[in-house]
Amino acid sequence: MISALASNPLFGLALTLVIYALMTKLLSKVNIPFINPLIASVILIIILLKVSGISYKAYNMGGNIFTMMITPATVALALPLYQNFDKLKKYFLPVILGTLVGVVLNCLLSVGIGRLFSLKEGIVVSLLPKSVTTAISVDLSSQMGGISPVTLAIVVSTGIFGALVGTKVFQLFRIESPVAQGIALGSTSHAIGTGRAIEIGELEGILSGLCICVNGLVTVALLPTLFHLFESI
Amino acid sequence: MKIFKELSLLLLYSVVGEGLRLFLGLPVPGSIIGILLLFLSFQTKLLKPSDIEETANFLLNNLTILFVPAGVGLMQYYGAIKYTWPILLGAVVLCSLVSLVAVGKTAELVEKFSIKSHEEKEVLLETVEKIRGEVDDFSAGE
Repeated sequence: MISALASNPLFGLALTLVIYALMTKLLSKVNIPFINPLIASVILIIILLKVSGISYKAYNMGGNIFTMMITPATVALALPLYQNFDKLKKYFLPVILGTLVGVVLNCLLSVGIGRLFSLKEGIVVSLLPKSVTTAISVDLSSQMGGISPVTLAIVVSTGIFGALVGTKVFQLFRIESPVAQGIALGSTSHAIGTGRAIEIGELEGILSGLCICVNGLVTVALLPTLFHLFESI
Repeated sequence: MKIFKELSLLLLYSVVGEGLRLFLGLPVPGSIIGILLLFLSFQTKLLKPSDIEETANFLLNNLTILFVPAGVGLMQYYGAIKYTWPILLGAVVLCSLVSLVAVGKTAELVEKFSIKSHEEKEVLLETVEKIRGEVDDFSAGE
């Protein structure tokens, strides 16, 4: 009975919507550090599926509708890119050089950690695109031989952690310029960092949003080459 | 009706982006090609932002829920990170801290430098204008 109902696509669709709405409401009332509606919903749905014995495959028949919409939502990033293109031109050098430093260091550190703990290549590749916005990083990871859901978990954790500690880190290291703060948040913690940057200020938010796009483009262009370079050292 | 049109356009750019990736064998995600094509369409005035604005902003503002089912997919890969997840979490913390500081410091330094050189350029241009004006006055007096 339950499995027949669960394999109706409406089940996964409804479950995702209801749980996400509930978690958003709950977390707007009680603030739990490191937990956002995404993490809370994922954990709760996994528990529900495990307890009820419904398979991921059955759930994902409806859940997949959300996954399908990730690509058009990512394509929609062209809109803020176009609308803030004058800002990108004005701050082109800080944006591009800052992002480049971030991409290179991220790759170097990930490969280093992978070697230190002798992680499997699939796991190291899953770790690589952690500062890229989710849709792009998941695509990139699976194209390079990583495990998409693992990348997703890592990317979301990076987003939440960076957004949480960003302001403290800026104080500690005396990074005061709004431009630099926006760029650092956007190219470290992508969309979740941008949410935080918008709270700090308008210019910070715009630059952070631009950096989601720029970081995605730079990473896609350079990461495969950088990875092979660092691997061979 | 407007929503249908906007969503169709966004889906069209997604499908074309993915199609180009497949047919040309590009090592770039389809979504990136889609972003570039849509951006170029705005730049060349083929499309106006208002043609997709409502749906685009709706999707961008509700991005997070789209990742819930993909995240639940982690339950199938638990074995792959059963023993390594503390290392991965450590990597996330270390890389985020390094990235925030390094990117922030680099951007701040470059900003100061490029704005300074920008200002110097302005001053230089002003001087050139002034000299040019003086030369004009001078030749007018000839």
